[in-house]
Amino acid sequence: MDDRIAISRIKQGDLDGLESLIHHHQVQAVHAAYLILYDRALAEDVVQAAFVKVVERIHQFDEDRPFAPWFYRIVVNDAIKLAKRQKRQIPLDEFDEQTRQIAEWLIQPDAQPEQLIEKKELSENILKAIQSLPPKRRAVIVMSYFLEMSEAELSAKMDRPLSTIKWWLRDARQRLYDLMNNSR
Amino acid sequence: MDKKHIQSILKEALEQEYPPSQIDLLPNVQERLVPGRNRSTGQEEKMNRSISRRLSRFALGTLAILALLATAFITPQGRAFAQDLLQFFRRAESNVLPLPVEQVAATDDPSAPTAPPPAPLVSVAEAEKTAGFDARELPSVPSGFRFAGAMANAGGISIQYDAQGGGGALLINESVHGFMQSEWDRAPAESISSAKVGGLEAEFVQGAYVVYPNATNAEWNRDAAALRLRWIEDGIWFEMAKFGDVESITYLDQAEMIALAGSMVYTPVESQDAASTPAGLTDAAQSTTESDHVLLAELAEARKVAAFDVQELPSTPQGMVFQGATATSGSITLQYASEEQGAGTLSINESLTGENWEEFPTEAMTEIHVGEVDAELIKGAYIFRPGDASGTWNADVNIMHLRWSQNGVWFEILLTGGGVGSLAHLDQDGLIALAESMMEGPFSLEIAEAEALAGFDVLKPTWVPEALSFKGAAFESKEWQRKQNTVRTFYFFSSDEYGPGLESNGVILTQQPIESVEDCEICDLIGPTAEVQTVQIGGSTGEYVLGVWKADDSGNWIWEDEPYLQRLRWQANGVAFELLYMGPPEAVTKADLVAIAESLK
Repeated sequence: MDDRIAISRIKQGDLDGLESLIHHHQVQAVHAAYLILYDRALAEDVVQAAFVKVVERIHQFDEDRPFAPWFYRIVVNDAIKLAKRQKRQIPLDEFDEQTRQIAEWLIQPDAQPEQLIEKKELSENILKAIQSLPPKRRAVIVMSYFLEMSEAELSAKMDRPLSTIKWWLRDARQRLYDLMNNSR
Repeated sequence: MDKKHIQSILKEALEQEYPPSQIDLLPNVQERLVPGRNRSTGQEEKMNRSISRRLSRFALGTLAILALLATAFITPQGRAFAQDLLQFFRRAESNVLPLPVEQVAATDDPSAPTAPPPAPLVSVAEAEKTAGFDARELPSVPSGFRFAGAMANAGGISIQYDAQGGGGALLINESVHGFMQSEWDRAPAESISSAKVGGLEAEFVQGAYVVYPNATNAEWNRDAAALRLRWIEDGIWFEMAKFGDVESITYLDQAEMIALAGSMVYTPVESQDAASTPAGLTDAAQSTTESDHVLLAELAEARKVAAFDVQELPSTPQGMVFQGATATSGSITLQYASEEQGAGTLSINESLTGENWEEFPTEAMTEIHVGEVDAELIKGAYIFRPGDASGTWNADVNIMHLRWSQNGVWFEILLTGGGVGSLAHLDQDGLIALAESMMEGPFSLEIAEAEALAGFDVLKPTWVPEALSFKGAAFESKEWQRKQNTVRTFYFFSSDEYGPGLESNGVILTQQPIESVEDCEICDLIGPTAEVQTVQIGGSTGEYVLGVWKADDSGNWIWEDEPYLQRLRWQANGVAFELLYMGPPEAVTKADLVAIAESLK
């Protein structure tokens, strides 16, 4: 069942549609929330609540628009808010040199970190590197790299001009870069 | 290393850290959707949040009780208590109420999550349809208040009024189910007094459980600005509650509230039609929009409801937080509140009619300018006392209205608490500066108007990419403006294809008659590293370049190859032209810019 049919069913009161949406989106949504919250229970809670909101607000949803960006926006926004409350941000100076290199790679992908670090280590440490950012910056990385939202999509979904989105992305990268430099 | 590679590594890392096989949300989501199992998914909580949001701007710590009132009162949960009714208010055993863990967490974090958009406020007539019974209403809007709207569920209605200028509210809750049943609803016996409403037994309470910063308990504050009156009539359980202590509503004490309760009627007098219209709605708009009146947390959604080009502040004012927006077709109000609780509020109303602008004494108005537009500033407020229905103007009340009209839109900013404390920067000048920061840009002229001002023939493109529409024209000649004797025309993104955030992006065509290059105001230098491409525009040779000047961390100007900024410049027949495009490079290309240039007539 594709999302459009699922939504149509939910609007008719058929919660089988919700089951389909959950199966399609739960993993990516929980992973996205986890990248912001770094807490499994909280991440799952945020996504569960987001699905409940989907049911509550389904009549506001325009079926001609894709479901995923709308839904992930709810997830990301709620995760950011919760992360602010949790205040779970680990100072970068707690990380080792490898993590710093990975963070640098996120900012400047051309740096070819795999020449410096084994892929396995890269995979293990990339999450730590993102964790070093404050929640909103994490969200920008999540939306851009993980949810594969284009800058134009981010612009539309965040209701900000494209130039602002570009600024946010650049700022997120810059902040990571500054964090690394300050911790050296 | 490309973006796809990063995405793949991220995905792999997450799948290792948090295997998809361990994620199964369906049972818990289903659990949450069972009615009554989890209140946070229900309409009740929406109402709860709505009330909380609307009142958060003024209450000390009375939010908790405010948030529960309209909701729980009209829900069946109160029924059990109703069966055992000897008293209208439950007696609290202690003046201290322990807070649930989640509320303790919320109180120490001012940036705690905001609620999602709450249930819509509708007209009383609409609410009655949902509730399934005819509600009793006040014969007219009480002095110092304005009608905000009503919300309902089966068997319950909450009619709501806001204090004019903010800082208070009056709720009338009616239910066939009974009163609310909550710890927060209780009151110490010594704060409860007997009363009569139209000869019927009633009870009155002043005070509330107050949550002080960082506290883990709520303490009963008998002086808190929360008054509640309860009675039963014709099988309907009534509660009238007033919150807030701004001057315009202080007259509404216990005696006034009892009198007000006694005045309620089933069928309002004719003038009540207006009173039943949510604030901000015009009569003309009522028939089609009253059920669309919504209280929204997200500006983007409110903008859609308002359905016109809404101006907004470039950023949230210092010391304030954005609370949300209310909108109807043709009207929108953006709400801000001070970060320091109770220090002040700011609301910005934009409407296509301006018909709801309040009348003020002439002597209270000061004529000023917002940018180049005439505006008026009003300081003070009407104070309503018993027996003084028209109110008395008090210029010392710290409320400022700033209003003006521009391009068919009527703007009104209402500021309370400005110029002092954490809002010291929002004095009169600060408020004007704030207004100027949100004024529509310079593209407010038709091309013919700009042409008349400029005194030269302004060329117009006969073709622009489909996504672009003409926004307006501007003529610049004043000394303080950057360009001299230039006309600029703006073609902005009107297509939904690129989303609502791109209205400020598009193509600007600038034209300036010049006698020599030295006169040219639009021939600014470009960076030495910029790649200039020569292009042919009809019989003229032009230059095309990507990029923009930007300041680096040291404050030095550097040229950056920015694909979101494209320029095409050329000169023809003694006029210098520039097409500047800001936006997604795929939406308007170099070839498009050349085509626009060649279509100029």
